[in-house]
Amino acid sequence: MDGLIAGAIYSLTASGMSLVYATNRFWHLAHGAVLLSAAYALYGLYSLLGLNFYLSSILTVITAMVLGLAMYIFLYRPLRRRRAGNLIMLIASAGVLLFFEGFAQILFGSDVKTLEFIEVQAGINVGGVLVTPLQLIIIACSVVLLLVFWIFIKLSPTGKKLRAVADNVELARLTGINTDRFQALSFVIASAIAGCAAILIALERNVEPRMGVNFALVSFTSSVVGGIGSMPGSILGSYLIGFAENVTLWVIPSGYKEAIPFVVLFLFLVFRQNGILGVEKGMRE
Amino acid sequence: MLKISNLNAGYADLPVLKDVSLELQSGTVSIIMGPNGAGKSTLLRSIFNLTNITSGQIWFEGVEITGWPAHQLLELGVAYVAQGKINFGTLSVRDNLLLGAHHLKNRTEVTNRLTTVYQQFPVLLEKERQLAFALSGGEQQMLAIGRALMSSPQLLLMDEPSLGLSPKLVKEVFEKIREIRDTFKTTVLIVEHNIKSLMDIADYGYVMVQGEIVAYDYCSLLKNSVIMKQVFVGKLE
Repeated sequence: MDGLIAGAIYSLTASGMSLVYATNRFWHLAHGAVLLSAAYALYGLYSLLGLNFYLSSILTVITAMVLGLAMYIFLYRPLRRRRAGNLIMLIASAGVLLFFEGFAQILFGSDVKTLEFIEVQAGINVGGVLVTPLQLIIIACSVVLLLVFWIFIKLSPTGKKLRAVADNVELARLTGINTDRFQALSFVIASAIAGCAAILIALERNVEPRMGVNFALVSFTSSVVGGIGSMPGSILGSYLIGFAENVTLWVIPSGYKEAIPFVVLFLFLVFRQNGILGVEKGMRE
Repeated sequence: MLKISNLNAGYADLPVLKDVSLELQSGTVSIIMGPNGAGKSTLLRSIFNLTNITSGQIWFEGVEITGWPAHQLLELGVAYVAQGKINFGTLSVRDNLLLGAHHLKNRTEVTNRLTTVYQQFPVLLEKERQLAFALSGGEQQMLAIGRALMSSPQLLLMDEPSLGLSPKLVKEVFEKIREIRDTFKTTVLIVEHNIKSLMDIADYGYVMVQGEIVAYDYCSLLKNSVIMKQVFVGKLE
């Protein structure tokens, strides 16, 4: 059950990172910083300022979107215009991620924050497993969000243009698609989903400075394990890693939990380089 | 309809085109020929603002279009079929075509154009739900041309349409280009290696050597000229 919850949350952040990778061709590790900031925004608005929870949630998602867009406009785009390679983008992104972690520590301290919005409730017995209503809400939210996102990408005209940009940026530009706008849009969409994820995480777990780095690394691993640039793949990868993390708890100490995603990544890199749904390279040429 | 005057362009520190001027007549097919590295593709890419233009102007139907972005050129009626990866491989054939007219708001107009393109290329209709990467080389080229036609261009720029195709398919593609000129009255400018078969259908030819246009004439006259022998058989003074 915990594996399912973990998978539901990871799939939200991983699909966003995967979308940004598909349209921009670099790993946006600072996606974790968006998540971190959104979680603290919620904590600040709700717990410190005492705003209504639902209003705080909406403001949190907006904060995430603005931050994601700002990163694209003020960090990635200037770097790209100076012809920065993918490695430089990755390092810049990691830098931003660490900066936000440090910044959150300075502002809020390194201790764990809780929202205390929902009181601890007795679990309900569903088919022999204990779940809290909140956990059911998390899974439902995750599935609905990703479904809406997937339909949008597959069927809407905007989604089709996004896929065209992801497929071949140069050709999309020649076809008269404003590629810059769609690359920015992918940051906004990914960040909005990260904002929603931040709310769910804040409710189910806690808010702490380390979460940005943790989720960034897990999302990256999930995307690679699922198949680079494939949206359904990154979702499958997330659930796989969520399960792996929790199932192994039975046999090895919980301190090793954070190492599990990398063990999975390592196994995939050795035995199945293209990930679960990754296509053979030659097929796309 | 397209007029280029004294164009100098290249990439960053590397100048390629030297004072290139040309003028296309409406409704004709013209070829740019020349040895490797002569700047043929660069000339096409310059029209679509993919190079650094240092001086000179490009005019289309009396409007100066030097350095215009792609979406404005498309609205004006200029379309470009690149070389290499020319389709969105992970999208369906139909979506590929629709993207060629993505700037149009009028849905009936888009549907009409789609029907016209399918009439021109029946094989695309048969495979409209398949993903583009599954098409054969010839079909890929047809799809790319079809997508360009979706914007109803008055001027169609093509970079090496015969690249990677078998001689039989090359003929088919060239035949389609002739049909497009005759049915849609489209002006076509092609960069091509495979000049022998193309010269039978093209109207004008431009010969480029080292970034300069050294000769231009009717294809029928150019075919057996001295300059062609000098450029393509050797002995270039």
